[in-house]
Amino acid sequence: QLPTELKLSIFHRLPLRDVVHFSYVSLQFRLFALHCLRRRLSDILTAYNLDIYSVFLSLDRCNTVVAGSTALEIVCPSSITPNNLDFLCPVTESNLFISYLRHNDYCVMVDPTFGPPSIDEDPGQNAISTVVTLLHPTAQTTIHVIVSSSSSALAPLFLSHSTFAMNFISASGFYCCYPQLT
Amino acid sequence: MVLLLTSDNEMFSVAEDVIKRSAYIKNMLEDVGESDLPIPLPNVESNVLVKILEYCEHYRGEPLPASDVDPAEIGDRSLDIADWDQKYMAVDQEMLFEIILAANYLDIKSLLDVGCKTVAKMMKGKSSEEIRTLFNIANDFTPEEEAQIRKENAWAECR
Repeated sequence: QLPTELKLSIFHRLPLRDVVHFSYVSLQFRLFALHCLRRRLSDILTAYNLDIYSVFLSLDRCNTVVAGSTALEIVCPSSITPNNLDFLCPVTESNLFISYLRHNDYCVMVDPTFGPPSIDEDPGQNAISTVVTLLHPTAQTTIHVIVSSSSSALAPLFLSHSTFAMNFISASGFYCCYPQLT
Repeated sequence: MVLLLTSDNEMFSVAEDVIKRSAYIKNMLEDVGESDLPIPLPNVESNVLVKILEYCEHYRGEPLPASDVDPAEIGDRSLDIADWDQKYMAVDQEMLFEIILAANYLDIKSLLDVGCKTVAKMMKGKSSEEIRTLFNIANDFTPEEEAQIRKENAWAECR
């Protein structure tokens, strides 16, 4: 029998699909699976000077989700560390969510050289209202808040036809839209 | 040379630069200094130590990991394993787990990493029933609980 910390270390390397699958092996494996997913996200958020509990509270309050490379890393762990953290946020809650990040020492970037990534200018095509880039002055970590033009944070995600982008984490769970292809 | 005494009372004489891949032994040598007394390894049997020394010998001369690395850190989460490491880990399951336990005890992070990756690769794609058999785990869910969990996670069933 391997000790708990080693079993967890093994779980940490498995794709989300296997972690979920093993959650019905036994009650202990189910607890490992839950702990593993929490730890996987916590490891990434800690690098961004964010606390997992406050992030989940804000995701819940602002109907916001974590997406992009961070969500992909949760679904398919790799040796690559995501170099930015993407949140998808509904237009109605974006100010509240950005103020949460500012409360955690993030500054909205106004310098055009560090401006938002180029997006399709046609609002009907990608459902993105705007992208706000925030920088942590000491950790030098970057967060993108992708503001949806609708009241659903997920609208930009489902207008981007890429399986890699089709993963997101909300306050209620981890989602993989194309599990067989991702 | 460093003397190591295994749990089954076998003595091994090992070159210092070989066994220093173990952070546990390295720290002990730095703390205690040179000594003729063997270092007891009550959690490692001789057949396992032979395998551990094979690994350390193979990586002799390779840079040691930084001492300030957090042992709880998971590091590389990919399941890529180097060719030599794959051949080295081609052992029965009991020996594989013994190597992992010894690497954990001796604090050989790179070997622990390879061991965990090997087990993760063994687990990947297996059904819950296969995992129960592989790890000798009893199903402690009631049929109702198991059905409920399967229903919640039906997407993961489509393989």
